[in-house]
Amino acid sequence: MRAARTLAASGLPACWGRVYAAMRDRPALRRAVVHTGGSLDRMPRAYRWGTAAALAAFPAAFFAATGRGPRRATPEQTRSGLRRLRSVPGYGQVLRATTALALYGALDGGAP
Amino acid sequence: MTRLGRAPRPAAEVDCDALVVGSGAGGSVAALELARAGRSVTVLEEGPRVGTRELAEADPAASMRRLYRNAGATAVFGTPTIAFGEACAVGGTTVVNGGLLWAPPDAVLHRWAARSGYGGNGPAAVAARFDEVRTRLGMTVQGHGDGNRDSRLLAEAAESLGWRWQHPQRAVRGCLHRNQCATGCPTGAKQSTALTYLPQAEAEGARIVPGTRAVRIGHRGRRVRSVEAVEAATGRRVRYRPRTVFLAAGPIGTPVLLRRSGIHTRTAGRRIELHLNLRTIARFPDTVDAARGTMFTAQVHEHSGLGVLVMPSNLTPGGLGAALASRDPRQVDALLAAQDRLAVFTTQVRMQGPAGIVSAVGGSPLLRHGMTRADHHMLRLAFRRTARLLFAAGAVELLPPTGSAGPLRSAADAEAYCARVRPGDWELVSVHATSGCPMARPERGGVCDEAGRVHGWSGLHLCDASVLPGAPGVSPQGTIMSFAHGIVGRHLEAR
Repeated sequence: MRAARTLAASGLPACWGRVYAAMRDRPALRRAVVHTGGSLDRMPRAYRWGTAAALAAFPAAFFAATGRGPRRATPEQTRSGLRRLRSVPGYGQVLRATTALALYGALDGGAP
Repeated sequence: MTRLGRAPRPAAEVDCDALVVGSGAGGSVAALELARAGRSVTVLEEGPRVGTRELAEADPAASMRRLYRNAGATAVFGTPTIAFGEACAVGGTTVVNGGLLWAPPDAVLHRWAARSGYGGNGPAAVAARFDEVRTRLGMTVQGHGDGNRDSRLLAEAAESLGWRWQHPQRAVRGCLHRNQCATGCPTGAKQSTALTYLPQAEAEGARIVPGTRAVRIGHRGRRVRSVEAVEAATGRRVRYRPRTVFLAAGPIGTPVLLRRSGIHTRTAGRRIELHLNLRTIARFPDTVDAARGTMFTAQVHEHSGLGVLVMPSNLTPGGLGAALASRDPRQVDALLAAQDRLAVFTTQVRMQGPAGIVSAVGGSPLLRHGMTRADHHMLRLAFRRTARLLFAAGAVELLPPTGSAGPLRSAADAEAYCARVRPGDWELVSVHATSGCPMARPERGGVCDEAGRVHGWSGLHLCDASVLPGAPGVSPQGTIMSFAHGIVGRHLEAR
C-alpha cells in the first residue's frame, strides 16, 4: 500500500472527491485510492518510480496551474487545474491513467 | 542490447521430463497433450490460481488487480501510448477474455504460409486441430439472452445496412449473462483452460506450480539444460532441469525470457503485432441497460477483410468511468448519471506498424510501437464505419475515442472528427498481441520452425501467441490453441 500513501499525500484524491460525483462520498473515494494504489503497487518498478515522482510533484504543479494548493482549491479551480495539467505532455498521461484507475475502483470496487 | 535482469544462484533443483512455462491458451495445450502422452509434466505459472468461488466473491476491481499483469495497464509507448492488457494467472488470458473462439480465416493462413515459408498450417490442418479445441471446450454459438440490447441494436443496424454480422462463437457452457467476463467468470460457465485443459492435464499426472516466475533459461552450448525460477511467496529460487522446455509465457513474456537468456536476442520481440481497440460511447434516446447481459452477442464482420470488427463491450460503471477519464469531470458526472442509455462499442483494427520490446527499465520490458500513416488512415476508416453503424442503430450521440473531442451527433460530425483527429489523439487499448517470436524460416526473420523448435537450439519449443506469423484479425484464442496442438503433436510424432 506504499503507492496509496504516496497518492493520498499528493492531494490528488482530495481533488477527485471535489469534482467527481462518483468519488464524492468517503467510502467511494477510499475504494478509488485503494484500487489506484493497489494497481500502482503491481506496476514494474520503473513505472512506479515515475508515477511516484509525478504524484510528489502534483501539489507544486497544481499550485502553478491554479495558485492554490490541491486541498484548498474550490471545485471550479480544481476542474480548471486538472484540465490544464491533463494537457501537459507526459504529466497528462499519468493524470489520465490514475484518474481512470480511481473511477474504476470507486465504481466497481468493493468495500476496502 | 540491454540485458533484461540478472538471476543469482538457485537454491533448489527439480528434475522433470517436460517443463511448460506459462499456463495460458498455448501452455495449457502443451500440458495436456504431453501429459496424455505419458510425459512427466511440470507447468510453471507466474500468477495465482483462482477458483470460481473466489472469482464470485471478489469485486471486479480486486480481480483486475489480481488477475492482470501490471493490474491491466501495461503501456506500449509511442504516438499515442497504447494500454495493453493480458492476464497473469493459471489459465492465462482465457480466464479474463470473452471466451471467443474463432478459427483463423483461410486467407490469413495462406498469407502466413507465404510469409513464413512453411506450408504445414494450411486451412485443412488447422481446421482439424480447431475441431479438437472446439470439442474440448464445448464451443457454442452465443445467442441473445434477456439483456444485451446493445448487441440487438447493433445486429439490427447491420441488417438495415446490409452488412454481415454473426453471433459470437464462445467457449461457454450455460452462460448466466453475469457480465463479468473481463474479470473472471463468477459462475464457471466460461470454459477457460483453468477449468478444462489444465485440470485434465492434472488428471493425467501434470503438476501445476502457480506463483512461480521463470527468470532465465540455462543452456550449455545450444542445448537447453535448465530453467531458473523464483517463487513469489518466498523468494526462493528453484532450478528446474527438464529434458524439454515448452515456452508459453505469452506474447511479451516469451520474447523477454528468450532475450534475457541470450537466445535470439536480435529477433525475439522485435516485431510484435497488435489488434487495436477503439472504444466509442454511444448515447441512445431510450434505455439500453447495456450492463445487462453477457459480454456481447453480436459482432459485425462486414469489414473483416480489412481486419476490422465491431462489437459491443461489456459495460460496467467502473469500465465506463475509466473510459471517460480524460474528459471534463462535469461531463463524466453527466454521462455516468445517464449510463442506462449508454453503450460502449469496440472496433477492433489489425495494426500494421509493429510494436516491439526496445529495452528494459529496472528489469521490466519497455514496449514501443510504430503506428504508421496507414494505421492512422485505417483507424479513421474504421471509426467512420462504426459511426455509420451506430447512427443506424439509433444512437443520438457518439463520444469518439479522443478525450478532447466533443460529442458527434451526425455523420457530418463524424466526418469532421475524422478529418481533424491526429495520430496522438487516439485513446487506444490492445488485448491481443502476437508474433514476437514468429514461426518462419530463419532467413525470413523466424525464431522457430513449424514444430515450435527454436532455430539453432535443442530442447526448446515455443508454444503461444508469440509464434503466430501475424495478427489473425479475429480473437486469437482458437488460433493459438490450434497452433499449439500442432506444435505438440509434431513433437510427439518426432519422438
